[in-house]
Amino acid sequence: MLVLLESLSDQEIIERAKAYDHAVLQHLYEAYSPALFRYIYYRIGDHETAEDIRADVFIKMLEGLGSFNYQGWSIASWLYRIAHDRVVDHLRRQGRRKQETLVDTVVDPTDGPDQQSLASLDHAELYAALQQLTDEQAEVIILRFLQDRSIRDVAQITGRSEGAIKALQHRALNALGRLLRPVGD
Amino acid sequence: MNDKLSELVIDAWQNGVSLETLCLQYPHHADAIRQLINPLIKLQQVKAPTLPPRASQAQADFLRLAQHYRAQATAKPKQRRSLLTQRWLWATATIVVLLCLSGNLVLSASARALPGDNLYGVKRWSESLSLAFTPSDQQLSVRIELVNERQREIASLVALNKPVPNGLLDEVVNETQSIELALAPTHTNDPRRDQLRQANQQLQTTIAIIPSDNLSDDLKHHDLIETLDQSSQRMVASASVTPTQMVKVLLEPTMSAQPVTVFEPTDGPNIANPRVPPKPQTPTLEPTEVVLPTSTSTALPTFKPTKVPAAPVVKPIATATIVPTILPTSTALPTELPTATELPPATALPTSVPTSTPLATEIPSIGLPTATTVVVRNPTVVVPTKIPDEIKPTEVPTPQPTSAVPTKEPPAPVPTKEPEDSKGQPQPISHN
Repeated sequence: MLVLLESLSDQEIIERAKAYDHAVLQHLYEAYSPALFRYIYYRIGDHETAEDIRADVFIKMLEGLGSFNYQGWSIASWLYRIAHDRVVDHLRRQGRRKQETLVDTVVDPTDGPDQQSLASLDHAELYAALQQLTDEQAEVIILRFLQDRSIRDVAQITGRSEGAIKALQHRALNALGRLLRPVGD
Repeated sequence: MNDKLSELVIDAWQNGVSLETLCLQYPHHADAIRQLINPLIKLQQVKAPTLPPRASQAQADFLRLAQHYRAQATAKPKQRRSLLTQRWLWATATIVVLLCLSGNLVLSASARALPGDNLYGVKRWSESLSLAFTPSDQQLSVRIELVNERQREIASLVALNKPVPNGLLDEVVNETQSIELALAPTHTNDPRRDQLRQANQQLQTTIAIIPSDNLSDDLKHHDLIETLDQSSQRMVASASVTPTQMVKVLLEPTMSAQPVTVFEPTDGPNIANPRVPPKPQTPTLEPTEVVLPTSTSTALPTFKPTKVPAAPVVKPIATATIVPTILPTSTALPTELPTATELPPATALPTSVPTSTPLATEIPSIGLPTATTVVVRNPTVVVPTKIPDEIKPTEVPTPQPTSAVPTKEPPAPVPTKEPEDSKGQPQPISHN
């Protein structure tokens, strides 16, 4: 089933999704749920809230499918754009209140105790470093290097030009390099 | 290190090129490259957070919701269309039926409405609507019928002792004149002319019986009757006038003094308006274009004696004696006229001059108090009596010395001189 769906173009997937095809919708959910959760989690820093927003993104997708017109955007870019808008709304409502509960619950239960502490440390350090960046820089870092989205996708999701994204990622990496401990320390 | 070089370095590193290789490749930017790639290496070490356990429940909810949307998308359109279609049909049919029923009820109820009633506006609106949809060649007939309808409304108002709006009177009179003007170019045998004449006469009669509350109303009614009367006269005259001439006459601003010239060809009395004198044939009567001399002079006295010998009326006796002096013979008309008693039949066919007299005979016999329609005539008769003073000298040289006065003072002249002839049979001077 997944192989068959992956052979479809974005436009075909969108057309079938607009018909509320069960297989296509299930595929989209399973394919993009983890990535969207990570993106939202890194942006807002709260596990439960990230899950709520992620679930809400897919409901928004269902509501918007009827009026969605394919204009060269991939379905993934559209989903990230929905997530981006929802995150921005959430941050605006929160007044950019710092989330101190980050990483407390973001632990892979399959990891051992040492690995869990290491992962937690990494998540906490990463989130603390991202909080030192601007919103635009943090979003570019997350989308480009934690979600592996292309420059073009990031430009579509954030509504900026590709040149702006390139400049942003350069400054963001330099700033992040000064904040994170060097490798091997 | 600029943005372009940093992009190249990042792309190379993401494609598997090691940090050391990149530093060797760009030795002048080695420190900058390390500062750029180190955070990326650090990010690679971050373990991706996993979805919480309740995410599976969220997925089930999502798929259920998707199924609901799918059901709506597939089922609703067909049901909506069929339902909408049925609703539209029922709603439209109901509205049409209700409109037809209520419209018919209102129209039928408004048919008997009188001015001042709530439904009178509906009645007038429906009339104008039907007139608008009437073919142009039939519109004049419909307008004449509407004049008759207005006349019936006025009569009904009078019968019910309700006030008759002056606006209605003006409107109907103006409409009558308008129709007359529209009929001017038509053929003289056009039946619509007769219809309009009859409507005109009925309207005059109806306006005459409207009770007047004050002098201004009376004068107003009198003016309207005069207007209708002149219109009627023009209609009669137009029978012998070419359409173009008629239009000319109608367009003249004042018709009071000159309309008589139009009546030249007519022989008998005017049916439409008895006050209009018949055309005299004798040369002595030429000046009788003015109504007064012929109508008022010899008429009354000559007829009365024959008609109502036993009546207590004093005037007839006096006039009876007067007439003989003027007219000796010709018994033909008098016998007919008394029986007729009304203007139109008696004066219609017989010889020209005598027929005019019937008018005068009616006035005394019927008297002002009783007759309703004649009462209206009286004012018109009175008006001429003023004029004779001006016209008399030229008009009545020999035959009518007693004519002007007799109506009011019958015994004054010389009644006893020649009573013996023909028993008071009136005869016009022209026969001599």
